[in-house]
Amino acid sequence: MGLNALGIEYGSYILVASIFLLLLTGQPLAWVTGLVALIFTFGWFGGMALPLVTARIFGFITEYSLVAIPMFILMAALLDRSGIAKSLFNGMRILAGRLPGGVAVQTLIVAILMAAMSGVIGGEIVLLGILALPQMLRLGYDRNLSIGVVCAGGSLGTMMPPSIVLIIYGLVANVSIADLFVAAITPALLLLAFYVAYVLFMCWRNPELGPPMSKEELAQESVSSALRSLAAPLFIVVVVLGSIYGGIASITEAAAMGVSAVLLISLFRRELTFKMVEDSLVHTLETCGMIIWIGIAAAVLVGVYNLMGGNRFVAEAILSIEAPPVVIIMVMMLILLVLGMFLDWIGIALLTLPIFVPIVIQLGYDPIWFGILFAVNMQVSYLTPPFGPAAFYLKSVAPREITLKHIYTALVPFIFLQLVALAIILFYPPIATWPIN
Amino acid sequence: MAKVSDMLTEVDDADAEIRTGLDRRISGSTRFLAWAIFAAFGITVVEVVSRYVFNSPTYWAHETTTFLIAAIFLVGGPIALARDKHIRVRIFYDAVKPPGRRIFDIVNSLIALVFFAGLAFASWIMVSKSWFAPTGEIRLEGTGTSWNPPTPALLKMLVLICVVIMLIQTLLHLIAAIRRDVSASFDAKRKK
Repeated sequence: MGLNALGIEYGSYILVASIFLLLLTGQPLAWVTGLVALIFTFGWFGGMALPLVTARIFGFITEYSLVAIPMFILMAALLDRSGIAKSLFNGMRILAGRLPGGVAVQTLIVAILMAAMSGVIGGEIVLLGILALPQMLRLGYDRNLSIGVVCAGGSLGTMMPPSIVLIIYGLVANVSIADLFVAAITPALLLLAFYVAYVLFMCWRNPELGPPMSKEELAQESVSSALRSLAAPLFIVVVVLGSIYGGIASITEAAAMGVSAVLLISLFRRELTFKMVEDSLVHTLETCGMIIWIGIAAAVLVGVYNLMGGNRFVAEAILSIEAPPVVIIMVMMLILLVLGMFLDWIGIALLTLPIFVPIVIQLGYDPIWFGILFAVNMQVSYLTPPFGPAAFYLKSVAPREITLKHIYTALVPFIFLQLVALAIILFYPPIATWPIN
Repeated sequence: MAKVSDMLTEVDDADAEIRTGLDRRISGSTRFLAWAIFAAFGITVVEVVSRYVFNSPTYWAHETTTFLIAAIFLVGGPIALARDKHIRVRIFYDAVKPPGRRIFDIVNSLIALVFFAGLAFASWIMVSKSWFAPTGEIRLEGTGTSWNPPTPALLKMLVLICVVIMLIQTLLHLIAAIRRDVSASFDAKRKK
């Protein structure tokens, strides 16, 4: 007797339950997903079906668009290791000025500019943790405010194009990545505006949260140095996004152009070393190994589940809810938020999107809009405990006395702001889709 | 500026935990293998330049980069495993004391062994189909384009190789976990 005797309903419950149980033991997500996929292939369809698993693996890794991912990770790694971010941060000091909370605003502006250059978080939070956090703490900024700004700002990379979250969404949902990139800009700026407004409001109410800089430090500022520090980042943004929107290059090629741009600028800045390139390549290889095997396993699991009839089962279950379509979308958001507490974004994307996106389209919604909602959801998942990658990245470079608990506490207001942004995009779709319609 | 880049590398290495000699070798090979990414980057740039500057797109760039990156994705598995970089939920694992952690390690290694063994078997079927004709002689599967490189056969073999390597790595992790003296490692951690 095979597992198929269970029927798709109980089969689905057991599948989800076994994934969560196995995850709790500390087994890597990739192996858990892959093992459950393997067991269900074998148990449901028999040993003859096992080659389906490896066929999915081969199909997944040879997808040309996926080549963009190592390219973007490499670009981000090189960027992080160059002095571009540091120059940018120092140049943007002029924004801080005499304003209470000025350095926090400066940090957020630098964060969005860095986000527009690379589509990977991690390195960005680490960099802000090295550059901005000590600066704010030294000036006597409130610890929670400083931590929140670094983590929330550093996570914007997944919203601002070029974002690898949106690339994966485009692949899975089969929609134009360039359209996703255009639609993501306004919501990303909305999030930024929320963060800036929050910082300014808090510091206006209580200036002690963000004391201004000393006179000597203010004297170092100049408009020309600020403009100079913007040149390299703008060049990179133009090369990458320009070649995508100009229709010159595919996403993958645009990413490779971006790598060349960063290498070129580093060469001009006399920072380019063999070690820097090699370290970046090593980092890229490791990161790929980490995220692609989750992707491989999730692709296999979804393939098997759909063959079992799982997609039809979930679609029927969700569509049978006697509720307005927007409630169904909200249920999906809730599922994404809960999963985001435990799983990595690429796992969530590849496990849920093949099932969710067809339902979204069937309900008459724009899959591009849903992609933006998905990206905001993933922003939240970067910050929410117990598995909020942003907190771990910051922890790795933060002063010793800052614990994970401090970080998560500091993130609460920022998570709230993200949820408000999510609600706005949910109830007012044109905020995302206006440039493409 | 060397400081920031060194710190980033340190962050990369901070949570890397190398457990066995095989893991050390695999981790050491990373510096060499990672250059394949650079090659894929270089080829993509050549393709763009020859298309726009010389107006003659290449016939080989697309398939070569796909091959190189697919290979990188595959070897990334054993490499991330060697450095304990695969994403996992650590709440319970981190909450227990070393003896409990050892039990977790043993159970997890056993479960992972089942996975890799099943995957190795499935990969073997795939490899045998792409390397041998039904009559038995060797015939490598190609991409089917006019250039028709045998990259699918090579990649399918690499799937098998990587899965077998991870199987062996996990077996060694299991042995290491069984042999581990938990009282000593507990004291050593405390001193740190």
